[in-house]
Amino acid sequence: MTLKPPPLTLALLLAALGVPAALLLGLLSGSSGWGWPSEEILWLIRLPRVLAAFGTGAALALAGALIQLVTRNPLGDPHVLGVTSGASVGALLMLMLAPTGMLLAPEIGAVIGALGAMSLVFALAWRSMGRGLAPSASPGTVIVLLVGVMIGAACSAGVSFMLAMANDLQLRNIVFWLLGDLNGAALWWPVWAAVGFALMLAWPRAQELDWIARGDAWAWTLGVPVAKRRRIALFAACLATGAAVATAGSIGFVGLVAPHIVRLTGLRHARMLLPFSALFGGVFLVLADTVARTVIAPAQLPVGVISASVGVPLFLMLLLRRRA
Amino acid sequence: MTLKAPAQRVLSLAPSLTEMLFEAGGGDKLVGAVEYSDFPPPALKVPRIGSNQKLDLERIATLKPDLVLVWFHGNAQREVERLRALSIPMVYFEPHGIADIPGVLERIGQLMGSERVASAAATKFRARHATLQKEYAGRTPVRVFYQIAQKPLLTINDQQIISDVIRLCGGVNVFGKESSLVPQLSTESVVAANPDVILTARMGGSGEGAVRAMDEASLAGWLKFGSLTAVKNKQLWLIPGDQISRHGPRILDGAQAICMALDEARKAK
Amino acid sequence: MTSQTPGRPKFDAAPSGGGVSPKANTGGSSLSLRLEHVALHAGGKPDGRVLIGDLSLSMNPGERWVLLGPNGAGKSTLLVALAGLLQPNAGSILLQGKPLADWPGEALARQRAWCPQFWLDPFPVSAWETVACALFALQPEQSANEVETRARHWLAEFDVGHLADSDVRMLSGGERQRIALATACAQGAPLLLLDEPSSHLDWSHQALLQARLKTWAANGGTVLAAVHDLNLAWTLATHALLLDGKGGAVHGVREAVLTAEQLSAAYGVPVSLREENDARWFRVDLENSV
Repeated sequence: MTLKPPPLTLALLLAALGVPAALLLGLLSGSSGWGWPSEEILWLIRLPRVLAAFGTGAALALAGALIQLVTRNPLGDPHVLGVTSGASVGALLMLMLAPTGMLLAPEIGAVIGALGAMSLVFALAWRSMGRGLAPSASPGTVIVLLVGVMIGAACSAGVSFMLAMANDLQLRNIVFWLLGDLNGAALWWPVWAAVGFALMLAWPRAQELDWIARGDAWAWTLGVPVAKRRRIALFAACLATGAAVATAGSIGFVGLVAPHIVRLTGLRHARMLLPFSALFGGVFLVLADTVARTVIAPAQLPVGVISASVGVPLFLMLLLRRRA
Repeated sequence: MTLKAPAQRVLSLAPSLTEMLFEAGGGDKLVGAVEYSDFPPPALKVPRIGSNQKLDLERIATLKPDLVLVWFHGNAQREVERLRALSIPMVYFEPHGIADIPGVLERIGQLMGSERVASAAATKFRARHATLQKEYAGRTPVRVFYQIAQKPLLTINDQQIISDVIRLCGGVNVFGKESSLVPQLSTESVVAANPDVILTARMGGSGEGAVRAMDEASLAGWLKFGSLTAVKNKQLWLIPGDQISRHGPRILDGAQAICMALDEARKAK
Repeated sequence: MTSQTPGRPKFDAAPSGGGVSPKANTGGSSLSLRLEHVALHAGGKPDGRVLIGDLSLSMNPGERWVLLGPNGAGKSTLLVALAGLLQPNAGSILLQGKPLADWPGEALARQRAWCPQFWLDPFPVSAWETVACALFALQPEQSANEVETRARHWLAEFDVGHLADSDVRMLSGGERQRIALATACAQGAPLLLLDEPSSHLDWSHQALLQARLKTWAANGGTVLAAVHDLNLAWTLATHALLLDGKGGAVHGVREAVLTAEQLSAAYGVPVSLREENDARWFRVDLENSV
């Protein structure tokens, strides 16, 4: 199998056309019909929702790409670091304990929970993020993932506990956080800021992430400060994931698959992979959400249903065609 | 199913059935009830046997009931199956609309041997229902959006008993034709539907009737849509939650509250 | 496989892209690696099994060292320690007189290249891009075209030029091994630390490897390679380091280390040798060794 050099100009062209096209499509379609909406619907409903969808998709895809690279694991996903579960626990705690009428209580809880889970992962796995270089030591990448999975498991237990304690109204809210929903997205810009900041942290040294992915010990012998790069990348990934979850709850699939689809198109280098994963994730979630809110309008489907039912065949098609 | 003798030890698996049992004159035979069985007040003194989705099977068995009142779709089927295995006599209820409620009262009366109290209650209920029907049947239709939850944004279709109440009061549920019993909506579809009035339930809450709630947190999100008729006319209302959401005798109290709110909306039109 | 004549060193033939000879990076200064009373335990842990008790030696430019010893004797661990990835449990490792730990990462990368025994490639990447990593890391001033040309040159040097655009995950073990060797050479550091570079290689490519490493040393580089094949070790090496797996080590010129007696003792199997015109052929008597 031959790998062709990445068709950069084509990719840029597609991005330059695809991103505005997706955003426009998102703005032009809604549960109340196709076409240019009233000013109220445009500014108060569709625009914030489309922007929140784009930011959330971009954040999840970027986090997925970063985690896959620095843990050297193609199964890396924003949710493996436990940040999503932490955010869910935080949001649910606020749902159940915050005084009624407090604005953005679950969102604030999600941010706090995400930061908490993130600090815990870093505190427990700090050494491991730099270790695993000497081949005889147990691989740090595995320890980081296991710590994340364990924190996620602990948080899931917390979620289950709250599910057991919640009343009916709280239950619905909890399900919203667990399934993810863009209708409730209150603020769209924090997740954009998180994506920008994460890219700013990770992109300038993106090449070194490629080398770490190829072999962390080997990258170290090339002079790459592996521990530092890995910590920065994981920090950026946690930040993006936390912001995404606080915006729209826990949306699966995008973070795992977007980086792989971008890779399959030939954009394999981290320098390309990171920004294009973000763009693709954003476009993908905007389109998925547009379908989710129009296909059975006025009712809507969970966006995860659409992203999985479109994304899984798309991914398999690309994967199997390349192998053939 | 019939019982050889009137039931002496009764369990209620839904707060609404607890209310029905008391209304039908069998409240003193209640030995256990699920959580939130808080009305009438004596129901609070009865031991709890779990929630409607998580029954404490062991406690149920030790209470040795001779009758269990089951809410057909409100209880977890898997757990009810376990109860059947304990060969405890069970009776299923599934009231679909307001008109089904007096029948439930009468049936409970038969099982409890309190037919007289029960049929009196049923008659009273029917009469009150008929009065409300007569009073509001001919009034101008009002377009109603009933918000079950804000996040996610949920409403109900016409199959749900609350829609029955809305119809009774001369209202039209704007999402009544949806196929799902509790459809999830996008904000945009509500704005596009442009209801005359927006209703939501206050948690718990008995008595008091409908309250205009322009500063209620769960409804505050609508205020920014100045073009909504309901917002323009200040027709955002809180309804006592337990009265309207339980398929029980108090639903007519809830109906009275909703009818009052819809009347206000009608006047504002 | 393409019809390249194996064993004919092309190292000195100036490639179109400008091959890197080790001297180019050392600026003519000679590089020596010195071990002073080095002790090494399994995994680098203080309570680990003792692999090397007390080892002092130095390796100099132009020398080709082979690292021998039974499985688990610590060959890989020693290479990892020499690469700077692992602190020895005692003693010091000096590169040009300066302790390894004091070298900044990038400066060290210009002095030594480490080629591990196993590669795990989680994501698609072409062979030439793998080689280019080493070039990008150390010569950021080069243009992308230049880097690609050099990367392809080094792949051709190891007879995998035709696979330059292939996904490394799709290649055979021997092909992947040669790409790793090309990557190590492309790094341009005079000291090559190679962990079993001949594994997966067929005879002709073992010969090619040997020729490349001889040219490397002749140009002023130093080679340290862990190998298992005693005959390959003999022809490849000027010097040898033999670990016995119990903390002991013998080192020196190949003639002094690769003796039937010492090899038999270290490996625990009868090793015999035939000597002819200063050349040695080794035979391991596998039938009577268990």
